[in-house]
Amino acid sequence: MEKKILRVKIDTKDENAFTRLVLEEHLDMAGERRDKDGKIVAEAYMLSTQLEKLRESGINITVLDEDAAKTGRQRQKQVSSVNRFAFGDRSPSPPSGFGKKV
Amino acid sequence: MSNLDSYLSVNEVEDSIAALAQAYPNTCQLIKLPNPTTEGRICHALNVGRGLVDSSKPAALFTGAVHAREWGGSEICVYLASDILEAYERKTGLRYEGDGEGKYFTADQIRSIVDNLNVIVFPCVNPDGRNYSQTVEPLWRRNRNPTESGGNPDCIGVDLNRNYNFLWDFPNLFFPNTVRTSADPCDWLSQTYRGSAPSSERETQNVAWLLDNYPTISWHIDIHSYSQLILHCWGDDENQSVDPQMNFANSAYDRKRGKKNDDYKEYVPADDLSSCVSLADRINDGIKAVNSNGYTVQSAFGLYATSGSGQDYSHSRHNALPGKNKVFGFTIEFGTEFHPPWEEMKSVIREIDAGLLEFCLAVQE
Ligand SMILES: [Zn+2]
Repeated sequence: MEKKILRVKIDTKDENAFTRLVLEEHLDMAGERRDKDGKIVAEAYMLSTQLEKLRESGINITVLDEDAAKTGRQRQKQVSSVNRFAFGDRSPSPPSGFGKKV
Repeated sequence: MSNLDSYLSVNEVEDSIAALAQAYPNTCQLIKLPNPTTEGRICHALNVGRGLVDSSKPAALFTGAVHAREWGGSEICVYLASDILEAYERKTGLRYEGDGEGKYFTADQIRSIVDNLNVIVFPCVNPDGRNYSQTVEPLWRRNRNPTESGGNPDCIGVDLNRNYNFLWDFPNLFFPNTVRTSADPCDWLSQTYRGSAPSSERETQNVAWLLDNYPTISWHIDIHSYSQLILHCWGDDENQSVDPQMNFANSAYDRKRGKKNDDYKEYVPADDLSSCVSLADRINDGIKAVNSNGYTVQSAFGLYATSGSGQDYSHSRHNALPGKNKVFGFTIEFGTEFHPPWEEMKSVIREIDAGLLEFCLAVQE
């Protein structure tokens, strides 16, 4: 079930080749933007087994994370494991945001 | 543990807005969404304002966590509402700090937002998916609807931001191989399955219900990640303001949409486009004061062609459906990761909440 997932950066000026690659390889696209000279800078998730084929296409690919699922599981530890707003015997305090009330 | 120490769980998102509704009964109201999710979760939105009954006051809709793994959309919505409500109650202003000069909203400005506007936050459109991403597969994007999966766990779920009723039937409406979505539930690599029918999913139905039920909604900002972008209309093709007949509803242009640098471009009246761009610029002004890098403002198609997106659905309704109010649709792609370390996410929340508050001021001008 668990598949090794890479997070990669793709940069290219060849928009047609890039679009073909995304669709043919069913890439799971993450971030994507165009820099000032029109170059596409995109991030994607893919299986490690896809990497070789993509590199053969001539598009510039850099691996940013060898095991993105593992990184994600570390982030899961930063999700609250209790309910800080549960309505129990007493009403919960409302949340307070990140703006300073001044 | 304070509420500012970690990401909110899905249950906390629900209970936190319920807690706000209880603490600030005169300035916000809970809205129960009609469609429970596949896993039986009942969702709420929160309206910050004097109430949606007053048809003279326009409303803005902010939606978060449509995509499961983009966790922070929920916190951006919950803490925006928290900040406005607390500052209003205490008659203070709000200051957001970052590496920029900082952004200050006066007490009068906060009061004007509550008294003259309704701000509807729907912080977690896709709670089943967000919960699954927070507890099982961190990179999960879709909802958890198993109907089309044939029992294969990889084939569960629909990409909600390809499921809305806007040019949904992409094989018949777009130029081949332009649009990034899939008609195959088992396209689990790309995670972009569009669903079995337009607006087939309860989560997209809930968003459509808000737009139907509250006709004062005039703006919809769908909060996604990532790439530090603010996107405005359209996502199916480039914009043009010359030929009103060249538009998404005109079947003469079927299979021509989605291709760059060809004759088909999507129609948007020049005034509407200039309003959208200036509102997007104002969001960026708010962001830039907190994060000195700022975000990039562009049309959604500047990235690639999409069908069935929430932004385009909202923006298209007044053309596609008779009698519907005009809504300007936007997408924010926050940050540089789906779920950055919480410390980093806090900075993103500050910058986006400053951008959204600046937007709330801009729409009143
Ligand atoms: Zn998204």
